[in-house]
Amino acid sequence: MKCAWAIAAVLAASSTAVADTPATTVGNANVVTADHPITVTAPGERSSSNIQFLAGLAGAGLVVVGLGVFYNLDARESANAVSASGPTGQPWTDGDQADYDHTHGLAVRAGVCYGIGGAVLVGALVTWIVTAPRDQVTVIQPHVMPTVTPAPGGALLGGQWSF
Amino acid sequence: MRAVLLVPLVACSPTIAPGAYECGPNAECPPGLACSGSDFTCDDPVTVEPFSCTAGSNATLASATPIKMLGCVSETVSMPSCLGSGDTDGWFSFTTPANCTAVAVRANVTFPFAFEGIGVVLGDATGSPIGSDLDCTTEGASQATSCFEVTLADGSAYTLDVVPENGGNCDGDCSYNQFLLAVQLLTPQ
Repeated sequence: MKCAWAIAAVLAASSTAVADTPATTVGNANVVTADHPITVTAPGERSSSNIQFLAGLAGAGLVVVGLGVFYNLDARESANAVSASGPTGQPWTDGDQADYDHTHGLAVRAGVCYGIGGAVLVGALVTWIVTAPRDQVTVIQPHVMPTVTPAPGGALLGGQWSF
Repeated sequence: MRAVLLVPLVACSPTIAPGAYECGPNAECPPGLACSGSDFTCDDPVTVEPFSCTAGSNATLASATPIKMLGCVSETVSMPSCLGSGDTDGWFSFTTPANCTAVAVRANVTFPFAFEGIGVVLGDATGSPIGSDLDCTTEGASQATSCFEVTLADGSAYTLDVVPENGGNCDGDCSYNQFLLAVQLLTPQ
């Protein structure tokens, strides 16, 4: 494999990686010598099952949190019915107590949903971090072969690179 | 914007300020508050005062408090009083004018919901019951009311007996209450 083709191949591989996800080329790619290997790092890709699992986990968390919001808003509406910051002139009745208890129950449900939903979302985030695929690192060791070609009145000095 | 979003999600518990509500039957109050015996409102348990009663000396028929009403159609006479713990009667007496074409009595006894319910019984001169009250509490009222309106004979003596009705007395722990008795003579319709 000749230099031109080899470099083109490397660049082509790199550009393909860049097209999907940012690829990092570590090392000095501009100086291709035997002492300077080319390291190509491509971000790892998640499996579809991993993505589905994470999406399901996050979705479940969001649903439970949404349920908490529903209970929260319901509790807030109920709380407004009995809340009072100033004299109402009204006696505290069994109906008021029932509203109060109902509101308390809704608030507890909302809190439980927030707790569970939040924990599931945090779990999804942790799982996303823990199951992140490792970057794929490829080290290319170029082989340099100097060439000397006799020419009229001298010689032509060149080189061939292979990978 | 964030605050606007957070408020509806956080403020879901009732907030009730001390004094916002009157005590309900059986001295019931919102959680965390207690019924004050002095003004019958739900206040901070630390600041509530016990019920106090300066009962009249009219616990018997013989010591009934006289009500003076002039004319066949009279002004409303209001008398605040109370039934202390264990009191069973508060007697009042009045006499209808002799020269009325027709006369009736309208009596109301108004009392806080907080403690034991109170009624009023119309009796003849000897205290024998001839009429009893109804629940006349209006919707949304801050206090309960029992009342009646009964046609009477002119020139006759009658009694009013304010009695506990054994309801809302905290299973006996708040078997007392204050009341306002209002009496008026009028022409029956």
